[in-house]
Amino acid sequence: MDRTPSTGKSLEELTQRARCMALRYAEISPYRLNPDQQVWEGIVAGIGRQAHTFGWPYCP
Amino acid sequence: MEDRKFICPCYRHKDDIAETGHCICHLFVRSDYHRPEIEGPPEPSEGSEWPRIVVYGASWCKDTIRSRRYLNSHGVPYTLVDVDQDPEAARQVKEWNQGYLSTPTLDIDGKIVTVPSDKELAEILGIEGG
Repeated sequence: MDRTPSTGKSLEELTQRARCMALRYAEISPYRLNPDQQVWEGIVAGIGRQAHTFGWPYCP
Repeated sequence: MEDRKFICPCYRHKDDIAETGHCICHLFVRSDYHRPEIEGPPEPSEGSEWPRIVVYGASWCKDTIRSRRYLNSHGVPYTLVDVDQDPEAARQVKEWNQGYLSTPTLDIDGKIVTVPSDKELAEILGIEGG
């Protein structure tokens, strides 16, 4: 059986989770978020949609 | 089905950032990263025979940027619709793509083309030499 941890969660919740992941990874990794906030927010929204559709926050 | 290597941050992001300055989707970047510049759509010229093209894309989407650059480089006019800013457009794109918000999706005189390669665009638009 597939493990889909995001099943039942709202798109908004999954997008917020993706946003937290992105901000946290930018803190602990040598990298930073795209300097254009509209761009990185758009990508985060895409990751949220992936989690909502497939159950996992795949690269959009 | 879980495919862990594609979960963000994906398995290739470190190599991609080392090589290009950004991961494949441009979410994570190196400190010396510069945003890719892309001009707006070309103006339609008098008597233009290009078909009516609407590009449904996203500002962060590498395939949208690639297709726009291709159209720009050949002087092909188009209308750009950002699906992140236009919920009705996003709904329409999902309807065309079995529920997926695939970008870019192009409406070329009513023919719907999803994430075309430059070669496919050349064939559809009759551009010789690709």
